[in-house]
Amino acid sequence: MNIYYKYQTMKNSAVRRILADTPDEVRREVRRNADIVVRVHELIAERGMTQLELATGMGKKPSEISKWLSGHHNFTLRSIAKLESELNETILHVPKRERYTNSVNVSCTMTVIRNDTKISYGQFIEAAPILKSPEKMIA
Amino acid sequence: MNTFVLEIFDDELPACAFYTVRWDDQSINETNRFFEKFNSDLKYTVYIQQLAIFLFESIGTDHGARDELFNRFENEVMGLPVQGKVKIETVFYHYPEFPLRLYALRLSEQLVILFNGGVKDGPTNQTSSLHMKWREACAFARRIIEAIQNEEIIIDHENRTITCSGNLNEYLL
Repeated sequence: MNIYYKYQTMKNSAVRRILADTPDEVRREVRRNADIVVRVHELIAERGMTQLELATGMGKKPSEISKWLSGHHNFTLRSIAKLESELNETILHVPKRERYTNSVNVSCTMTVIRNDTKISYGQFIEAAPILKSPEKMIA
Repeated sequence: MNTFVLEIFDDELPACAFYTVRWDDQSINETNRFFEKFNSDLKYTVYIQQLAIFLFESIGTDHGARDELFNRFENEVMGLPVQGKVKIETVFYHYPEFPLRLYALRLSEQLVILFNGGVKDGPTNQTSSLHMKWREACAFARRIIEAIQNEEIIIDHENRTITCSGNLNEYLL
């Protein structure tokens, strides 16, 4: 499910107007780009790796990896695949459509999207931000 | 330096609250001035949209003001008086050759003060046309840090608020 926020309460009309006028593809590109940058940094930190070690493992120059991770790189599928391979983790997940059949042979298809929930203190909680005023969002 | 007002820019986003500054004799704050200026220039429309989404959705909604989403130029810090060691940072959209720069003072991952900015058209800020905006941002930041150190204003990181004794929503500095 995609959730778009209406910035109706934003005190600044200029930004509100800009956000409202921004094409969806631009919104998706920017958010995905930031998600990838954050994800890669998290994985490196989790593994206790340095950028030098990552570069060595990938057969790249340290300066090239530094460029990738400091934002001066337009990620391609190939560069993401290289990072996923070296870090041994998924960075970009593509949802899959799966068919389920219950005990009375009623079947349905569902698109499985990860990261919509996360585990906190042993319980699944919604990863999507909870708005103070739900009426501000439209589905 | 003239008097300026520290005011809320947006405090309703889940991951980060944004403040901004406004000259006391002006009706529009510096960050809105930046967005209005570049949004009205067709050459920068896409860039200003990208920056707005990056700020208010990627940082404000998704991730907060994390290290990896900010660009730290050490040479910018050197332009400031040593006292206070203020770090002026650039809100940095991770995309090659992005032309716009917006200056910010990051107090925490949940609290950022936005200033003004401009076009990075030189190899350094000092040689770019946005040099004056950088100097202005440094001056704003220095005064804000002084106010924090003097407890004229109180930073509440947990509640993502900046407060003063009068408990107002805007503060004259």
